[in-house]
Amino acid sequence: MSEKVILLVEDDDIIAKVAEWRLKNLGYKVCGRAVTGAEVMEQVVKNKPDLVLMDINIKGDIDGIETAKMIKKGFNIPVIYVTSHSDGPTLERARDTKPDGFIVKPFDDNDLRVAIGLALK
Amino acid sequence: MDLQKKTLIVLVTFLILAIALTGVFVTVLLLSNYQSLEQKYITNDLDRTISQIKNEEHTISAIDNDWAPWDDTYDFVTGKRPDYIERNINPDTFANLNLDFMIITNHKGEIVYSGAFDPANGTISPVSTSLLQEINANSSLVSLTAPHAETTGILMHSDTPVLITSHPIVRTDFSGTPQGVMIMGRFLDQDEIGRLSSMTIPSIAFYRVTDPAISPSLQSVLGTPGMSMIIQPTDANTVAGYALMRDISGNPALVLEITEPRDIYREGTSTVLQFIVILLLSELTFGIVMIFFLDRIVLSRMQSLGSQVRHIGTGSDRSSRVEMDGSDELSELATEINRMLNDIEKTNSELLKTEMRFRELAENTSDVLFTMDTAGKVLYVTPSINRYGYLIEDLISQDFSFFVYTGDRTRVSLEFHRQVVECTPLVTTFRLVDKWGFFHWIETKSAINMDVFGKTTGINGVLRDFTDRKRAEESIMLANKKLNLLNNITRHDILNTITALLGCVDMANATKVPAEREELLGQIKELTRIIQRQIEFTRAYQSVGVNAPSWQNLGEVLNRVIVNFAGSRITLDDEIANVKVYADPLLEKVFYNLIDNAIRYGGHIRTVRFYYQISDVGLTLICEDDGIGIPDTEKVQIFEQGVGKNTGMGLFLTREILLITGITILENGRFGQGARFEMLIPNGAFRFIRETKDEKRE
Repeated sequence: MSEKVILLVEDDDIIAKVAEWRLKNLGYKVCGRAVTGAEVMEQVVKNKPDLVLMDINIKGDIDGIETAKMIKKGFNIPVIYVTSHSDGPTLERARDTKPDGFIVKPFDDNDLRVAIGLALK
Repeated sequence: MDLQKKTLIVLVTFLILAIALTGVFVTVLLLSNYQSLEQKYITNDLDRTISQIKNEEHTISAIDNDWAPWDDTYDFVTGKRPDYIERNINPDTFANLNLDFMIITNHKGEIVYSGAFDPANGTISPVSTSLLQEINANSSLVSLTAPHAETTGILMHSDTPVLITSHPIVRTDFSGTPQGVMIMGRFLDQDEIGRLSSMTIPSIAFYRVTDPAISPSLQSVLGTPGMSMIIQPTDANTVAGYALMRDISGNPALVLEITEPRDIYREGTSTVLQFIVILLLSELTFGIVMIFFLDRIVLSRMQSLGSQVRHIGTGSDRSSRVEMDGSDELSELATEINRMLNDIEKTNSELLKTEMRFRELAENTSDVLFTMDTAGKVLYVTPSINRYGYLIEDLISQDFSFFVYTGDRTRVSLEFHRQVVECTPLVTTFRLVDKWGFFHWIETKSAINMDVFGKTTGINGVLRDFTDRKRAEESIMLANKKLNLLNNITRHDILNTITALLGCVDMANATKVPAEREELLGQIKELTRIIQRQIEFTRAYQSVGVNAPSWQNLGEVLNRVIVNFAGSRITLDDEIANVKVYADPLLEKVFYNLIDNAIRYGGHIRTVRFYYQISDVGLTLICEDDGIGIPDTEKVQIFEQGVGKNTGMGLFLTREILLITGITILENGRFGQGARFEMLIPNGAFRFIRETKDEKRE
């Protein structure tokens, strides 16, 4: 089995560092990190990841949900949302994009492994 | 019109009518009687005149009856005494017997003697041929065969009617065969009529039946069977009587007219006139006397009573009473009026007290009481409306919607209209626009007012200002909304931090490098402090909107804040002492944050100044300092959560506290010259404090 490539979208430096460390421990390759919607689309085009781990609250004019819509529409790449919002309108909007998984903060290795495994199956 | 005039008019009218009716009645009755009496007298005179003519006929007949049955006359006719005429008939005979002619015929009807007397000359001449022919044509005059036969009456001669009589000529003892007739006559000429008139007093005249002087109607009436005479006035001064006289053949021959002056009628007219004058004078006297006494006894006293009552009614002294002398009905009425006035005064006094009590209650309550008619026109409003800048006079007769906000006006009008139609109580709310254009939230409760017949006459209601409550509700709603939002944000931030924290812990456990572990532990410590600050912020923020907003004196709030900066070297200029604003109780925290930020980040700051400016949109409260100011790129960001050099929560919290009551804040100072924060307080959310002694009436 070839090593799966994951694009990490997170604007918080420490969380990004932790997430990258966990993904590597789980055997995934992190092809890059993006903090805005534009960077995400650029990385997707450039690296063609197998999965995008998307934080909903990112910097820039468009948030993670709008960015995920574009990815699924243009590249058909699985997207897993990472969010600390467990309910409310934001979560409703995210559900409407029919994501491939949800990971609620705080998360550990097992949360990542299960969610990514299901998304890539 | 007062009672005196009415009474005078009634009495005068009554007297005039009474006099008129009496006059007419008396005139008609008396004059009718006098006319009857006049007719009776005229009838008597007419009868007497006719009787006189009959007497004249009898007189002639008696003379003729003396001469005809006389032996001398008998002998003369038979030719035995030829000197009879010479011895017995001469002018004196005619004059003495008052005869105009004498005719003697024999048994053959031949005239053996005829003589006509001329009184003027005293001579006798033959009877006119025309008269003789008319006599011969009348058999009743010349054909008398019985010794006692007689024919007497009027013969209509061509020119003049004649009283004529005829008797058979027999012996003195009426024996023997009549040998002819002796005819005597008297002309009813003017002389004879004058003689008759002198005997009968009334003026007499004879007219032929066919005379044009006799009107056809009179002829017709006289020709009626049984109607032998007629009495009728010829003019105002003369009355005439007419009687039909027949000739010796029984045919209508003459109309006898007698005329007399209307003395009786004139006397009657004079009597009636005198009676009316006496009646007029007596009734006038009676009327004057009656009016005089009526006025003295009743009318003037009633007028006095009325004047006294009017004076009491219109004057200010309601304690005065009416006075009326005597012990009659009017004085009793005065007593009753006084008793009634006492009752009215007592009732008025009680009513006044009651009204005062209710007026004090109505006019001193903070609510506004009002009454309006069914068309929505304000009829009454309590002075409490003055607080909105309106005078009562401005609103009376105005439409109720006059002070209702245009956006609510149609709805409120419809609700009041429905209330009038359905006769149901109404509770509704609307926005009142005061004289200065500020909104006030008003709750109105109203009920239908009906008259004794159950007809809707208007609406009574009360207006209650619940603007503060409304603001508090809105503020609390906004605060809850903000707290929920902040709760989500804070939870999100803390969970993010915990995610990083747990990751660092796992990484620290996994690493074999001591230096890396040391670095990770330092990050863990920092992340833990971040969580601590986030939790502490929630404690500060949870107070926002918890307590209802209130009116706060800016000067007093600032004075309480200044105490915390007593040790600093800055100067605080307070120019906001006379202003109150409606704000969250954490307003003090706002002032604290602004001054604290100015000191922390203002650099060479020496002065912080608080003052205000008025504009159309509201009052702008300004806090400016003379420090380094805020860069243009950060003027918006500084109000975001987490932005800043300390906790990053100060100005965010400031903005949220102010927004609770709709106050907005921005920074528009010039970088390098100092920071300048403008807080815009909307109209209706600030007040100015009046003089100190009137502070309670602000």
